[in-house]
Amino acid sequence: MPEPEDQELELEGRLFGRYLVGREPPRELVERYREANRILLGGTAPGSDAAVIAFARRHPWSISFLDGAAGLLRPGSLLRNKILVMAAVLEASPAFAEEFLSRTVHPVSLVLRVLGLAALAVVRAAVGVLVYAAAARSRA
Amino acid sequence: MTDVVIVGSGPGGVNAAAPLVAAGRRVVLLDYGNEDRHYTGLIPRKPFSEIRRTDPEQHRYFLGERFEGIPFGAVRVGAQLTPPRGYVLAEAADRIPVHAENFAVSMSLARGGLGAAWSAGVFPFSDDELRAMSLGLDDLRPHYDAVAERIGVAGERDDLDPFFPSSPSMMPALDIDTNAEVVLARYLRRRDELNTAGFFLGRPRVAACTRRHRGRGPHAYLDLCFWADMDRSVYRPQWTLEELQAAPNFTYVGRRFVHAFEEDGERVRVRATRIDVGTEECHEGRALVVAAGTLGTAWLVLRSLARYDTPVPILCNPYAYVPTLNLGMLRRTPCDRRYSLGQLTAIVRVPGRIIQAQLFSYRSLLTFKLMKELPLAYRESLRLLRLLVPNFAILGIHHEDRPSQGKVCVLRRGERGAPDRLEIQYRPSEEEARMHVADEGVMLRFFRRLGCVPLRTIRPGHGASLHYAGTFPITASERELTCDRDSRLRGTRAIYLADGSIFPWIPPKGLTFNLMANADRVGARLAERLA
Repeated sequence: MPEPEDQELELEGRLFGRYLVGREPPRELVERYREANRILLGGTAPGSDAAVIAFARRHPWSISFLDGAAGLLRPGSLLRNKILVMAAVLEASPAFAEEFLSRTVHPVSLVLRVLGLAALAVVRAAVGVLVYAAAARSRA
Repeated sequence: MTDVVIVGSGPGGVNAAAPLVAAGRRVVLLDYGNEDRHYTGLIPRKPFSEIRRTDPEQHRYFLGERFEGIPFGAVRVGAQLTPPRGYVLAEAADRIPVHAENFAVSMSLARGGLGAAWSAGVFPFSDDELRAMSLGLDDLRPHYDAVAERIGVAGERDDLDPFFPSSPSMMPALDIDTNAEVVLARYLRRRDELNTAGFFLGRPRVAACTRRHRGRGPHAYLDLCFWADMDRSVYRPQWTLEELQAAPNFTYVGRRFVHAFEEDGERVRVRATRIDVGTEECHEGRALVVAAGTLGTAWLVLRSLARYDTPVPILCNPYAYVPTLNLGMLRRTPCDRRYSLGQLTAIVRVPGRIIQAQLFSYRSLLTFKLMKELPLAYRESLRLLRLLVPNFAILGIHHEDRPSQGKVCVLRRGERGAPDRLEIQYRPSEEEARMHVADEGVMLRFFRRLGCVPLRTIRPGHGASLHYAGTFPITASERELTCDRDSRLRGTRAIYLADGSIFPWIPPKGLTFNLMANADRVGARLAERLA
């Protein structure tokens, strides 16, 4: 029977994987995420950090907003570290490497995409600040 | 009896040993000698991009078995210190504790020392620079040549020739990557105008073999230079150590931690701990060469001379790196056949000095490390970086460093059985900091003219270049805790220093090749003296 903490990490792994690359990672990578968490992020997290993670697990739609706000205001937070760990795990696997390898596009397309992504990031961060404030005050 | 005892198998130790062994002297090299016995065998001999797409075991060496390749927090020092290179720094901080605020300390107890993770840039000092160190190019030129032949140096005689004296054994330059080709082509089109303004650009001299040399190379362009040494093209001191071990008059004594030396008449005694069994032992020789790396040597020398609480200078080239957007790369697809080290070297001549920069591409490290640096949601960071990374040209800008009252290193006695510890205080003056910012501005203005738009200047902090130096400098004046022109520690009969310790200042150039040449000089002169 898996421990409750293992179940939480497994859920996080699946959610963060889907958030980053749009599809769910296989069990093997989720297990790797769990192992990396145990080794790298094993200590007790501040209450607000734990609350934000719990909120993200309960409301997966909020992850991109929480991440956007944390990137701006709390770059070293537990949420950012956990998503970074999942990004590393995905990148170092052949099944997802292509999602991380660079791509060459036409300069016009490049400019449009960069502007689009920048605008999206600003919106996410702006909405995210409100969501983050609510998440940090929610139950852990 | 042993002629010379050498401490340390890094770039200084092995290059001091080579001329001694060649001259028939009996040499014993004492070394802690950590090695990687795990990662080397895991990395397939395939191009980096192919490994990324095919190897299901890649997480073991790209992230590390303990995920040590996933960094959190501030910018980490030493991009080249990937998990397979982690052994280079292992145990050093426990054996030689250093307390330093705002100064990154990297020491090595590895076979090959910090040289086992060297980025292989070859930047010989000019005559002017050496004269300001009480030396001259005539003193070092034969040793630059000897070391260049021993380690293998690839380069080209180009616009950088006046700044970096050439060696006759230089091999053809490594092929630069697409990013660098674009910048170099733009430079060549505007060369006269840029040269007149004091800007010079060329291919870097790299300690790597582009043809078969001493059983090494040629470079296979697998883009794995930060991860593995499988073609043995890029120089590592271990290669010289292997050659030395074939000589009957050379003895390598590994798994020893040297903690003191003393002179007794015509002998030098070196005290070491056998780290496998913990017992003490003593080695004797007619002379001692200490090459434990600047910080390791400072610890050993100050401890052996019982000079606790006595400040000595400490230097380290200040360093900044600047990701730029190389506009010339738009619409171009980068070639996968490449090497990972510096692709171009730039020099700006300003009155009385130079500024130096290296251009790199971000290709053979993982993207998630860059994602951490952007203040955006990771999903957008990833998408942005996938588009922008092929167009990144990253400049590493080095500044010179000179001693001052704010840059000192002191040995403190360990209390209650704790080992003695070094304390480092490194506070450059405000004037120095202003000059660095101004110099970076000058360099970046030239790169803007080459189509590279700076995005952000990142200063990883003091000590980040790992070019530690200057603790026991060569001086013309007779002062204690300095060296004479032979790199002999003043007040001793036969204790020589053969690492960065002896440089009284450091130009804005990598130090390693220069300390190897000086080590070769120390070894060659000592061989004559002991004849």
